[in-house]
Amino acid sequence: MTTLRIQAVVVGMGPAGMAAAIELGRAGVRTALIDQAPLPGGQVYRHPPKEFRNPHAIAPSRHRTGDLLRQELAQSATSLTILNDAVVWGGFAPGALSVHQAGRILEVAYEKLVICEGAQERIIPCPGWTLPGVLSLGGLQKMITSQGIAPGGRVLLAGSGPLLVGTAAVVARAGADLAGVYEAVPFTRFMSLGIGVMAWPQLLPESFSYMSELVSKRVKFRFAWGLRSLSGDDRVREATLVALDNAGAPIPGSERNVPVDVVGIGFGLQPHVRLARLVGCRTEYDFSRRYFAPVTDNWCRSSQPGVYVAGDGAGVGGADWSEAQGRIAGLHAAWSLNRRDCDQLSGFSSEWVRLRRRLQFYVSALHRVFTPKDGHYSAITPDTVVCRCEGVRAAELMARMNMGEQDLTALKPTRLAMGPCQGRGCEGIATELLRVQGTPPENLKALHLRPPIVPMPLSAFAQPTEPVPGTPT
Amino acid sequence: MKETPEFKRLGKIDRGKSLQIKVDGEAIPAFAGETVATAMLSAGLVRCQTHADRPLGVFCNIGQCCSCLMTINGVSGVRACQTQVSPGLEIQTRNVQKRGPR
Amino acid sequence: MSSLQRVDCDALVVGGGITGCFIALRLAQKGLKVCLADKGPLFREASGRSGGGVRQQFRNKAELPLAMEAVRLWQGLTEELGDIEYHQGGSLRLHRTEQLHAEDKIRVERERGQGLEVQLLTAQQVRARVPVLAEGIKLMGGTFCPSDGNANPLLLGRVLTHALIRAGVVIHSTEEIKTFETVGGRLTGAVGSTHLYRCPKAVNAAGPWARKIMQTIGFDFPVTFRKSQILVTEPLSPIIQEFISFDKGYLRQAKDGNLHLGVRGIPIAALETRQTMSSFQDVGSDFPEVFPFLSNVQIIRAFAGITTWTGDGIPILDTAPGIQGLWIASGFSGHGFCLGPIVGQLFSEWMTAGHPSMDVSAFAWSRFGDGEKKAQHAAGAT
Repeated sequence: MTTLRIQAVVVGMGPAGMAAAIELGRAGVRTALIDQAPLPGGQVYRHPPKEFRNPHAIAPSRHRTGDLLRQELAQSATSLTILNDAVVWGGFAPGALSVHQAGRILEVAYEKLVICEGAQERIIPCPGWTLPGVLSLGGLQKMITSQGIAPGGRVLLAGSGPLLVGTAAVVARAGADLAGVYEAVPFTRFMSLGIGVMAWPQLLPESFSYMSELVSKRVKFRFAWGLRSLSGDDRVREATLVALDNAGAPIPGSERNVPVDVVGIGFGLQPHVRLARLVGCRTEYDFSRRYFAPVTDNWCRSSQPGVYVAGDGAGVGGADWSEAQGRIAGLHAAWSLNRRDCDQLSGFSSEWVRLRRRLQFYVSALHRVFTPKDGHYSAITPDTVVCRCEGVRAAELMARMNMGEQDLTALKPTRLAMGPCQGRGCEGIATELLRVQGTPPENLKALHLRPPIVPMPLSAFAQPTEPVPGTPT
Repeated sequence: MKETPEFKRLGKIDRGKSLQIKVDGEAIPAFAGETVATAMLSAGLVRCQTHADRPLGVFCNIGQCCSCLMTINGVSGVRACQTQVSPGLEIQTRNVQKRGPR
Repeated sequence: MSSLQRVDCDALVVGGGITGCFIALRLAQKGLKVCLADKGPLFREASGRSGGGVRQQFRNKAELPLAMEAVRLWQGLTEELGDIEYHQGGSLRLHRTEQLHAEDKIRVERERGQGLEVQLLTAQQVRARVPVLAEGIKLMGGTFCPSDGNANPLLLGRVLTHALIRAGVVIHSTEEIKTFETVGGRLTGAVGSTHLYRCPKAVNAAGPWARKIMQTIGFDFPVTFRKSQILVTEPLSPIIQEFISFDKGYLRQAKDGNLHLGVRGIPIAALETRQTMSSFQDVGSDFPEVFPFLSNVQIIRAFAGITTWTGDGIPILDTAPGIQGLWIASGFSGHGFCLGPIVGQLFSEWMTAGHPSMDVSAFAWSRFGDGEKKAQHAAGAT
């Protein structure tokens, strides 16, 4: 086992991580980059397998941006140590992380940490959502764009947000039988996003290409509709759709059944906050965006000295936003390490700061239009599974909440968040249940995270490890 | 099992080397670079595990939800969506029963 | 001081772990107005991080009668309180050396003499019980106690909380008790972080923090602290029935299928529950040697808790020398979970009728010697 002593670590190689690494590399900072995938790109710029000989046959236009970043990264690579197929599983002292790569454990000691853990999808469950054949929108999209396979049977998509339109276009372009696309937001609110897109016209070609794909294939696209339930035995076979009122709640009597083979669901993105919590970054529930996010300043600094959180992992803003964030964080970290006067940094980084400010208008519009309302959460009936791993249903959680178990930690005896995914799936959903039940805001606290923050094979610990001096043994 | 409509491999892609993997003893085709999840869905296999009578399959496809846990080459709890196929890879669906009613 | 809110009660229980919760519950059920104070939520420290073992074998001779009575009480808890996943699957100790086998042979005879059903097993008998044991390891035998078992600490904490509320116990969580107040050798109350308690009786069951409180009134008792860590696996189909302990640690399987792998506690000076890399390494290198199937499982969770150890490994269950009305229940040395129900019953008797229904003289404070001196000092304090 080795100990890698480095000046900066960047965790996550999506747009934010790549951008931060580029700036650190350019400034000559000895930096380690850690990512779980074989190649850089994160999720939005996920690179198809290197074994595929013509990957861009399936990749959307977005990939060009990803490729440009990858090229820029390769050019700044001289002071960069890239660890692919690697995950940070724990940290046992300030300034040190423990990494799992290819069955071995590696300790990394650093001065600055830039966390770019990206986003995960926000899911509002309904009865039957855990049946095989139901995927998240992003998961389904990635199957097509980075693995090159498309559903052979009938596909139905439901949920809300840009990912719904994007996935629909990708599914349609792949030639799959798309039975319908059901957007929870009403048409007028959806169209009001158009104003936001004007602030970032670079999105227009992409938006148009999605729309024209759907129009040309005559895809059924409905607004203010959602999933009532999904049913099947060993896999999903039928979807029941329902019209939604202005508050997002189902309108009884409007139900419609559709036979399906594959369903994609999702309500946008939320920050994936795992490593940030492990290292002690203060994380708060954002009431307007309905998710937990680490508290950061304009330089992406978290509450923990030496730790930055940049990109969607700090607050969802999309790929371009994330890149701007990564540049800013990388620059600040590099300047701090090179003992440059950070007060001068505003001038130097103004291009990225201006970009971020322009994007902010669009990002705010996105959240205003697509953040679910309380009514959307009434899709969660008492028999709906909330914790996928352990099968905990909403009825049990609500009963416990009524008995005074009013925060996530108190709910743990139900087995909530006790499965292998460690709460990634259910923490957000359970928090929203607490919120719509009227729990006091101070009870909406994220769970305390401890090592391991990813499931770890016990065999990885079989070899003796060499600890970083100063860590508790 | 085969009545599940398979995912189709898109024709325009020039995939990596063709190989075979085994799921519950049954050989299915795969291509280098694909994940186990991809190969399974392409063979019409949607269930990865059953946990206390609930069937679960691929959901997030990015290694976060742990719904696609399978036993791969004898190691338990491995995510199918994060595991690359390799020749002769042996995969078993997981069935976790609890000790008694909760 | 004047900003503290005054609370009057018949008895104050300091510490909301298994010990304090049972004492408070039984006192309230005897009709006393009880306050239960903990610096955090109930069951958040050692009790909530426990391996959950309810074990009689391999205890100090003086503790065994209490443990056996405790198991009788445990058997009634599900009906009284609710689901706690109490499972009497037995406890099994593995012998990997001749010396251990010989020592345990003597111990088993002594325990049987005290009325415990416990067996000395040969190596073949151990392997027949636990087929997943590695074939190649040297195994001399073991001991098996069929009535031992384990429970789910999180569920117990929850059902106890509800029972306490139903019994009318006033629960103050996030209340740090700083000191006790006495007048002329009698307890008059206690000072917390938010409340000022006026009560004629109190019991200090504050685990590792018990000593600090006693030091503020001139008492001390020698204890050391250890940090014990547990690694939890993904849920697996039933594979182990018993609570198994061996030279490197212990393991048990929870109802939902997760295996809990516990390592021996490491000495600590400061009271902290930071996990260590070495606990993962120890389990990773030591456990699969004995249980090879563990090489192929995932660890999904881990945590640490603090245990409080006396020199002889048994608790202090006593009145504070020279102070009428103040009791102490601390120093359970890593195996207090099982004893919770019986300590609760005994203290409720002691604090109302004046004496417990079982002999607890072995657990006296005076065995640490300083008791008398401290008593004189306390009697002079106001």
